[in-house]
Amino acid sequence: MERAALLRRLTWQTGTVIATTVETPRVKTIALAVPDWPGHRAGQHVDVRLTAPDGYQTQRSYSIASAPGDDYLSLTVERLDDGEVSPYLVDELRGGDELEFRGPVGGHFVWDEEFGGPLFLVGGGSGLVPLRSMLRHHRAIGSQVPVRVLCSARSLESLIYREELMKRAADDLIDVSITLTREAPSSWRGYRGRIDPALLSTAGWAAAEEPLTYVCGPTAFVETAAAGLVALGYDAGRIRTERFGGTGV
Amino acid sequence: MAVTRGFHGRRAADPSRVPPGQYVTRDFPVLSAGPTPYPQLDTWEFTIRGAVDKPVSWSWTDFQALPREQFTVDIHCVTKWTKLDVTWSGVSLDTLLAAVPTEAPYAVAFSDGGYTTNIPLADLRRGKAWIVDEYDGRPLDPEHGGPARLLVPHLYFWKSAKWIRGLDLRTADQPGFWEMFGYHNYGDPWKEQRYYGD
Amino acid sequence: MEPLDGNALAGVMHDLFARDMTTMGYKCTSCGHTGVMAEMVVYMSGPGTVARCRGCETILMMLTERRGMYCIDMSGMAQPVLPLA
Ligand SMILES: Cc1cc2nc3c(=O)[nH]c(=O)nc-3n(C[C@H](O)[C@H](O)[C@H](O)COP(=O)(O)OP(=O)(O)OC[C@H]3O[C@@H](n4cnc5c(N)ncnc54)[C@H](O)[C@@H]3O)c2cc1C
Ligand SMILES: [Zn+2]
Repeated sequence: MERAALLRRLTWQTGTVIATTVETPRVKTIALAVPDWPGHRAGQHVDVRLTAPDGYQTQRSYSIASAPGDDYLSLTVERLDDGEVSPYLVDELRGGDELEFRGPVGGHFVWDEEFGGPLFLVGGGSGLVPLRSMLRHHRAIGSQVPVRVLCSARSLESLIYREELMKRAADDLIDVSITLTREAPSSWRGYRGRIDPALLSTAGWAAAEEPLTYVCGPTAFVETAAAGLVALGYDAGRIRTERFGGTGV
Repeated sequence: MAVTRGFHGRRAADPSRVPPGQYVTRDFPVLSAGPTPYPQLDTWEFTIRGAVDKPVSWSWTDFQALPREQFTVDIHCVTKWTKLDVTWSGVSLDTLLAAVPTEAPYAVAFSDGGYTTNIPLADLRRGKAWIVDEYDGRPLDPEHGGPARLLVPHLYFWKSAKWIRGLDLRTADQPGFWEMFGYHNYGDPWKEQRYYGD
Repeated sequence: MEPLDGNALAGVMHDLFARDMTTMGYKCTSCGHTGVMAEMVVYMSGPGTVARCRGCETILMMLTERRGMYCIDMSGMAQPVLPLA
């Protein structure tokens, strides 16, 4: 991209909703068609802005769930019952609607192929969204970097991208671990309970392998995971974090 | 400006009770500019100092022994929410200021965590302001400013300093934390005094 | 409300500085901690935005907005290193 093109204030753009997909009872993925989308890096986000008829405006950040090469720009939104923006996006927005946003933004919580690995992706709740973009990008470019993924969700029903994760886990390069913190089916063979250093060490890499780690999710989840990784001897300089606000998963 | 189909934002209500530009919320949003402090009650003190003959301090036990008031007011936050009929209990600033004769026209409230805000002293007298330690019949929780916060309901809520530790009385006005960064010096919600110059 | 981090400032800072600022390096004037803006502890629930040092909680940056006009103060930040555009 040209320097002149970059040194420009961000402008608000409009995308058209192509489809919405139910991920869990509280989470939807919104696919947007965006004219002249400049492309993005896996892990970036956009700021979405809503405008009421009386001119009132409000905005929130949402990570990009799609890979840079995907046809549409996708966002995955979890509905917070007392929220202002997420209930609108999950319950009200539908195919054909227009949505205003600016981005892509963020140059820190991103994974480019040249960063290498091995990769450890740790996501709590909707914190899986930017990690899914990284996983899709990894596949799209045929990356040979080995990846371990650790997902934390309240229950199996509330785990987003469940089928996609299961499919990716069949790939030799990709290892997916799931921990359920509130309820698990009686036949559940994955992990249970909140993440802690023991689980991070089982699901992740040995510190000596110098993994590149991305941790994303509710603020309290990210703090626990990051502190656990440092306690395990991970190089803090190779742990990148992104906090969505809110407490645990 | 493109209107988002089906989005109405948070609705404004009865204009006789709700200042312009505000919407009514039922929950109690937490506003913070820093980590929540957890002071020990056995070392907690409320101090009035500055342009006074002699500073006066109350320990937590002293403070608890003062005459209390319970009252219900509306609160208006500059971030546009208004919460109606909130019940508090605490000590009127008239009670506290009676112990500290002063001619000073201004006060700067100071708090644990370093937060400050300035208020004309007249706005803290005559039953218009309190130091509260109970919200809705329960001890004020730390997220909302406990153990004790200032409450000046006729001004925007940032003036109601959380985690308050005292008042610095002054002969000249001095902007506080948000006031220094472009927020209105006085903050009357009915005049929409949100920013400097409003 | 739990604090966010500097990633949440990416949009507004990109708008103001016409480039990504989350990779901007800083050194805290108070404790000497070094890092990038993405790692700052960010409080966005007050009337304005406050960014603090992850090492010591000193205020590094304040950002307030008034009808589309921004006021930004970076006094807690020594040696900001601008990322290349
Ligand atoms: C960089 C970044 C990327 C993000 N990406 C995503 C994403 O991909 N998908 C997604 O669903 N969300 C994402 N978020 C969170 C999102 O921006 C909103 O904060 C969230 O949707 C809530 O907005 P709301 O208007 O519905 O709730 P609000 O009206 O803002 O808040 C309602 C209540 O929920 C609490 N709350 C606010 N945020 C959260 C939270 N994240 N978790 C739990 N409680 C909260 C508030 O304290 C308040 O009590 C991201 C945030 C950031 C900073
Ligand atoms: Zn510091």
